[in-house]
Amino acid sequence: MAISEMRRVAVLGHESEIGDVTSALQRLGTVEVSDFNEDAAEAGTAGLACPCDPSSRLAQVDALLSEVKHSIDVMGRHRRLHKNVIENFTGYRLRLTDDEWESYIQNGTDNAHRIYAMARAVEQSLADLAAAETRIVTAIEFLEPWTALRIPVERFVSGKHIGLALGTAEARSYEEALVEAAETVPGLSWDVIAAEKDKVRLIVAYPMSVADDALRTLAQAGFARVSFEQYEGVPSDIIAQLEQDLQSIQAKREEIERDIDALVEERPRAFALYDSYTLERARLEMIGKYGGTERVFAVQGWVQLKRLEELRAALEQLADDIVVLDRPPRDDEEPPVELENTRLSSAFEPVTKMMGYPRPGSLDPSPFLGPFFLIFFGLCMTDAVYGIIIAALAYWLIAKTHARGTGRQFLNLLIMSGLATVFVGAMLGGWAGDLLQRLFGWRTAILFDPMEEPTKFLILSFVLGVIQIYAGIILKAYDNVRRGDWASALFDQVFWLVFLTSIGLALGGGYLGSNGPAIASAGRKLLLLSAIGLVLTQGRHQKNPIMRIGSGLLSLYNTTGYISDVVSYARLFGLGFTSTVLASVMNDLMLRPAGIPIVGPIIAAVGLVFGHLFNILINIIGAYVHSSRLQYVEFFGKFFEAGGRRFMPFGMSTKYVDVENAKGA
Amino acid sequence: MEGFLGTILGFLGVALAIITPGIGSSIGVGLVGRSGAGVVTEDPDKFGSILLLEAIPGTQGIYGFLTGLMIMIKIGALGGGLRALTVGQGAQLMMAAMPIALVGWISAIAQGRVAAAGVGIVAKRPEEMGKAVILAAMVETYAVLALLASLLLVFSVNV
Repeated sequence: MAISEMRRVAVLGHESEIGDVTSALQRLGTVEVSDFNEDAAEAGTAGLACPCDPSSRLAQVDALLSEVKHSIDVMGRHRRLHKNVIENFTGYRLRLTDDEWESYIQNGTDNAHRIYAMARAVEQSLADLAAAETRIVTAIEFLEPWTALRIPVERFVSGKHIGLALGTAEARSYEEALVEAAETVPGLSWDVIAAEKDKVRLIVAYPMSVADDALRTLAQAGFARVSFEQYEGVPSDIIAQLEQDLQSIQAKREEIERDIDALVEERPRAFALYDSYTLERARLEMIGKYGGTERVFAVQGWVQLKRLEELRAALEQLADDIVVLDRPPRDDEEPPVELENTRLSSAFEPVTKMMGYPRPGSLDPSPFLGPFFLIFFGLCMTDAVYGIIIAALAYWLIAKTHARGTGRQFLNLLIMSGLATVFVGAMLGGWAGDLLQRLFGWRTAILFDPMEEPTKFLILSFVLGVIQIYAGIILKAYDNVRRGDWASALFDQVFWLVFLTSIGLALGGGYLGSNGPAIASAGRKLLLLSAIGLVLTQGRHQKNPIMRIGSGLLSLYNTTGYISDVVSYARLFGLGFTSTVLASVMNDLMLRPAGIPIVGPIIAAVGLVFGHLFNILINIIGAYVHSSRLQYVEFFGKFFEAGGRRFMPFGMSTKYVDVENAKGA
Repeated sequence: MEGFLGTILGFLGVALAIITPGIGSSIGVGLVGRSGAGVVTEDPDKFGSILLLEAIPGTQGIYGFLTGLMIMIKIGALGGGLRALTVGQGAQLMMAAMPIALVGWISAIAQGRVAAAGVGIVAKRPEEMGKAVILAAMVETYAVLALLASLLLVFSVNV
């Protein structure tokens, strides 16, 4: 239960082992590698260039990555990836065993190229088909109006004496215009092939002797010649042919669909390749951080003390000449921070981490906030049935998602919170609200019923607040003592504890039965003494004695801070009471139709299930958020020292694939 | 007439408690949803985080509804035995609804703005999403205090 102890570690080896060592580091995932040359520059020593240059391989890997990524995108466009309900929220993960992973990433380059070629072929054929289809559809649209022509279009050519032309003209004005044209071009004649609303299709004939004149006059009359050069045959026959082509395109599409199916079958391999190249890319980038001489490379970094021997064993068995050196951090170095807790209290690490990492050497609040977090969460939900549902859901998610690391810790926290909710719910008699009381008349509250005595609930919230604030002050005192700063522990924490307690005794002592007045008067005396103590000591950083007293007096004003901290715990009542009342209202509404014969009980049961699930949904977010907030603002404020840098070991971070045992790579 | 006016005032209290925080929450949730939709377009996997942020300014509406319910229970509007209120009682219940009616309304909008800004955190640094939630939750304190005041006042009215 603390901040993990860090060791500075250096790994030295022959240049030929650089790949093996890097892979081992990645697989172990226990070392945060620092940039060797940056560190050297900071220390004022000359940097040493690493003997290997990964940039050419890096370019290859980048090219492969973009091919695989493109293939994955093509697959995704044509076949949606089936995600289950949870993966819609958490993102898709493919789980592979070591063997599957190994077999997928074998011959990586060939397979990446092959899959990419398949993806490109699919894209190309689809694009070709789409172009062909557009061409055919346009042609059919063009020919459709001419179906009245029963003669092959190539026969409409001008002869020696008579010129022929096919074309369109304005439906409204063509007759008038052509009659006029016929006056200048004797022998001009025409026939309508098809008439539409605004356009007519015409065939015109004219004597070849005046061909140029005729065509010019026709153009002036609004006649637009249409060319059939690219077609042969009767228009309706051509259309029939084109429609057949269209059908064959459809058939080809189905063929391509089969190609897509074949491509999508490669999806797991593509995912594995993508991740394997991502991992390789990370390794190559890591090598860029190494230092070295002509033959020797050097890796520097941080490792948790408890992982050191494991690291040493794993690296030294790679080759005889690999050396792992370690030393404790120097005073001018700030090691990264990782939290280390027992299995039980590690569930609270996500709450701490959400706020940030504690400074190296300070307290890890995770185990201390645990009990408070659980009780607060329970009070915000206030229902045993809800607790059972939450715990069961979290348990199911653990089984279903195989979550690891922080995700797993979070789900463990949710299970414990659910169980705490069961406890609090039982104490305050919440079993799906007041359902048992409504159905069987059972009064289930062990402690008190919040519906009947809401003020007790409010007081309970304040009492818990006082306890947590005291706990925070005591933790700070412990931290000061731990560092040997007894004076601060006495003046800043013990005096305040006495002062705050005596305020409580002086104000509330009178209500404590027969000895009350005596307690209150003792409280008043204690209050005076501790106030004097605070006034005398709180300004001790000031040199000037008057300023010292002034600062001391001013520090008493901090009392308001403690009061507002306590008031803030009213949110426990607010949220818990909301949950209780809404549960009761759900019961009231949903039980109303229960009297209807036969269907009534069914409607009521379904309504109750949905009503209470809804209540859980709207309350669980608030319960988590506000239970956390009380830790951050009211509890952490008393002792937590933020500013730790998160420990980020170099490891296997993948986008799609989870390899069981995380061997791979 | 006396009981009539009192009941109207009581109903007005219910209406205020439910209407204004409801309006505030709708606006707040809407703000977050609008900026969140942009992020989901880019990265559908962030839907869960966005949904969580979007839910936060919704609580004021629930607090208002809760206060309204407590007044309804008080005046017997649930279950059919509506009591005739004096003008004094009605006015008291209406005033009791004011804290949550006003603070719930404004704080939901303010919280919606903070949560909508938090969408940016989810978009750029999804691992820091918890901080976006906590920032938004800081606003909630005042809605909780207002709810508390309203509830205590409602309890204190003698009907």
